[in-house]
Amino acid sequence: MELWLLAVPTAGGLLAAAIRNASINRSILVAVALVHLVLVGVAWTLPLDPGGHWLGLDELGLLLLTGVSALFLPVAIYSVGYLARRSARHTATDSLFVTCMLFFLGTMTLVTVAQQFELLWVAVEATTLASAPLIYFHHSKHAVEATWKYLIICSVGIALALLGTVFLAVSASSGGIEGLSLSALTRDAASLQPTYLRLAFVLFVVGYGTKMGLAPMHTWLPDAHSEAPSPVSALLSGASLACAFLGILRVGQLCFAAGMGDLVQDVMLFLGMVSLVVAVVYIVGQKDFKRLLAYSSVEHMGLAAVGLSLGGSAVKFALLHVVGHAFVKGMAFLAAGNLLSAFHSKRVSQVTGAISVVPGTAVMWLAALFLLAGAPPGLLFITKLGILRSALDSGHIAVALLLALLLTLAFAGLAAAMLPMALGQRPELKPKEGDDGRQRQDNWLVLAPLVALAAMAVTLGLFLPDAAMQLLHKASSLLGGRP
Amino acid sequence: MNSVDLLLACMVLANVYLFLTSRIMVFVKVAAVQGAALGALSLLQHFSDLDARMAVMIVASTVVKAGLLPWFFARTVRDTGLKREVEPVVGFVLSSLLAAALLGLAVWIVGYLPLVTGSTMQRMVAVGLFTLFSGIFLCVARSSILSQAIGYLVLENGVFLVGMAYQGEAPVLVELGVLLAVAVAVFLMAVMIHSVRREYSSLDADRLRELRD
Amino acid sequence: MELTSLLGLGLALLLAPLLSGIINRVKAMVGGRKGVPLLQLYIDLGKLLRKGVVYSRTTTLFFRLSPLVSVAALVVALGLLPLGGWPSLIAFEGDLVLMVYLLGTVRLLTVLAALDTGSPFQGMGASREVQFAVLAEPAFFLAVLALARASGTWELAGVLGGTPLPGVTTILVAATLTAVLLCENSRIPVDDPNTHLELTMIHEVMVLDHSGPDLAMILYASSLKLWLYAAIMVGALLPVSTLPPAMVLPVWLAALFAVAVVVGLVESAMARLRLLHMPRLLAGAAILSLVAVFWG
Repeated sequence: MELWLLAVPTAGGLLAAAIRNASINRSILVAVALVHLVLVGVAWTLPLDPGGHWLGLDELGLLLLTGVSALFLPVAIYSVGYLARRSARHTATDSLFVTCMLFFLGTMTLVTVAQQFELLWVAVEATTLASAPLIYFHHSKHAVEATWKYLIICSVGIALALLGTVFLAVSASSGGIEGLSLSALTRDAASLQPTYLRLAFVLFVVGYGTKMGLAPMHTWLPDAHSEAPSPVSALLSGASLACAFLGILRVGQLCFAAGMGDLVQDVMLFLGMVSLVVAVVYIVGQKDFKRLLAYSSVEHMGLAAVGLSLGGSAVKFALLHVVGHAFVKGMAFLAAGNLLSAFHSKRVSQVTGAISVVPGTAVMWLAALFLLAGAPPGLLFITKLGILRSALDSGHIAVALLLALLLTLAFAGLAAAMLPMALGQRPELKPKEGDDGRQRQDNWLVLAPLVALAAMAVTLGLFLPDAAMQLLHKASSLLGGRP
Repeated sequence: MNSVDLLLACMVLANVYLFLTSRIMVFVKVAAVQGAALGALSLLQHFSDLDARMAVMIVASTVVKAGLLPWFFARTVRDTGLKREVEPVVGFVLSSLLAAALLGLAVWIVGYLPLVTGSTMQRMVAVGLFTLFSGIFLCVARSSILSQAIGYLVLENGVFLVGMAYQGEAPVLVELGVLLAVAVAVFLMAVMIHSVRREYSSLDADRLRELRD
Repeated sequence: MELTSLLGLGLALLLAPLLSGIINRVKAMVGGRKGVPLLQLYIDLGKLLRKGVVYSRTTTLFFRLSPLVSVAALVVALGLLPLGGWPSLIAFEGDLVLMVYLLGTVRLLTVLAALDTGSPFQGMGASREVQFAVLAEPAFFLAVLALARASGTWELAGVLGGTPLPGVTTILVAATLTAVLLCENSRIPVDDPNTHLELTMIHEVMVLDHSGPDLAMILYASSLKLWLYAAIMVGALLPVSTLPPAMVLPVWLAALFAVAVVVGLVESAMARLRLLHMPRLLAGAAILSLVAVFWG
């Protein structure tokens, strides 16, 4: 099964690289996304057996893989509309876009099915490499700068994670464990050498935390997520950050199994709170709405880290939060993409009264605002509330108060920017060169995916299937959580 | 004096040279020397149990690290016509003091690590950590994006050396994967360097400040 | 006080001016010339001793003291070194520090004498000399530190006792000591002993005003200093203790002359470095020794 999950996107990517015809490439993109999602659905029905040495799907992996794949299909459909309506000046080919997108999907899948730490490292680095050309897609000056920062900061961070992997290997071999497979290490976790395990954890957090967007290693994130094409931003914020979190979670699993859960909780609490504070500082008064969404991603990742650190029932909420964030943030970025192509500007001040220009998108934009803020009946409502309650229940009163304050401030910042964009005065739109009215309007291709993602977030918020709950419980129990 | 010590001394001196110079071609040459030294070291380490696969692996990684990637960078330097001197963010005196301090830090850390036995292993880990620090120094303290990219390569060399010191037997496939990832990363970096030059007409990292809050 | 120690000191005092002759001869040979006779410095010293001395009215006591104290201090410093593989004339714990401070005294008095003349050129030379000393002395200390770590003792007899060192330390310390030797003895690439252009002199300019016997003493002191540094290098790096006793003196002397030849070759091959680049050379040398310290 894992091999199929990997082979399909890879084969699709290679095919897209070979074919030049734009519409065939777009069809390949959607087709592969659909097949991938179907395969993931099949994986839910199969018994989970992560005993494999290299590849295997366990509860945690399946959870995040579902998030990735379920986000990818709407994004793929959106991309078809997106690619179709960009201007003729744009030189980069659809082939490159589709190839990189499919490789991106393949590498993220690899992160979720990797059961061996060195393979995990290669997979995370590969996601960076597969997504860099996507960020660069518009070839603009700012895109160049954003891609450079992304490439160098994430590569340096991931190189530190490689050192962490080395130390993990030392820790394992001194305990007599052969190889670096997750199952072998968790089974014999008590014999892992503690100093090296601690060093490895810290390095993993610094390294993969860079890719996840935890402050203070997040500096590449606002640039990359705002300059990338909107479907790519959706994937980066929604899926790629989740995969990086998985890297941290894997070594966290080991620490919990080895009795060093305290270290995990302390470090994640610290970094999570720092990320929340930094994100809130930059959300309030943000002038660029894509950067706004990017900082909101930092905020949500910080919240997930805090959730992990609280232990108890907060862990499953943290995991669910990451998946929910994928859907909602993805939807937000896709809506941002529509707004960008309607108003040709990324500045909040220049986008007003969208409801009268692109009504469908404006409604979705408002929906994204409320879903992100954690309004019921969205999934993020359940998770945020769950984490807050956990903090109060477990006696972390200060944390709970701070969280409440920061999340409120973040909502205020988001609302202050996003509300006038959707409502507000009808703008005077000057027609741009080579622009016909058709380009400003949204067709179903760029609206339906947003509706689908919103529907998923709301449905899951109202009704979480039993199978999912079981998976969550099992996954969170590996990370110090209790039902 | 055995050859391992000699190679390690070469690596340390090469790293120190990174701190004392500000010419980009020197950075590239140092990275090449490091790659060669690493290849020789891995050969010496596995001399007794050398089989075909391992030999191929060692040769491949040496060719990539000491030949291909530095050649790539050298070509980028020539193509971009960058003037050889880099504006240092950190001046000469501070750089040499930092070199001394980071070397001391590496040695000190090794003193605190358990499981490091024997003077050779201690030296290898210390030199590996020092190489890692040198890589980070290049990324941070020299203002050209080329220096940042070469710093990344030096950093990876350092991590590799630390891994070698613990005599971990990584499966050949994984080593190849790591090597491939580094090579592709460098390739992408080279492409981006050309793009930066085209858009900004300069390779100064300080110019890349337009995206800001 | 052993006879052999006296012999070592006597050889030093007698043969020191020969070193500069060797250097000049090597430079001449590389340059395709015949060059001055090897014993030229002896002839110069003799000539100067017979001349009268002229003192400027602005000078005071320091100007007259400087040549005398230089020679005296260097003779004592040489007495502290184990020369020719024999034990030194005077040896005690901490003799290393005394030696360094004797050299410092020589430098101090030279600088004071230069400032004493009241001429701006001497002042400029003095300031440059001290500038380089700030960099050269830590480099020298680090080299000695590396040697002390390797030999396990701080006494000169141990540090320069000729015990075999690990190869890496040898190379690194040799590099540092060479740089320090070139700097302290005002050789290319630090300073050009043949130039008399005002803006390029460093050491030469400080002794411009001396004449007659004073100048003879200063030249003699410089040659003693060169012998001293060369002896430090040879003593530190040549594994004398592994040689049979009869061979020690000839090999030691040969090594000393070899150092002079190397200096001559370096002088022929390089030009003087820009003053701006001097700190790099010395800092690099210092760091090499630092690496040697950590290596041990």
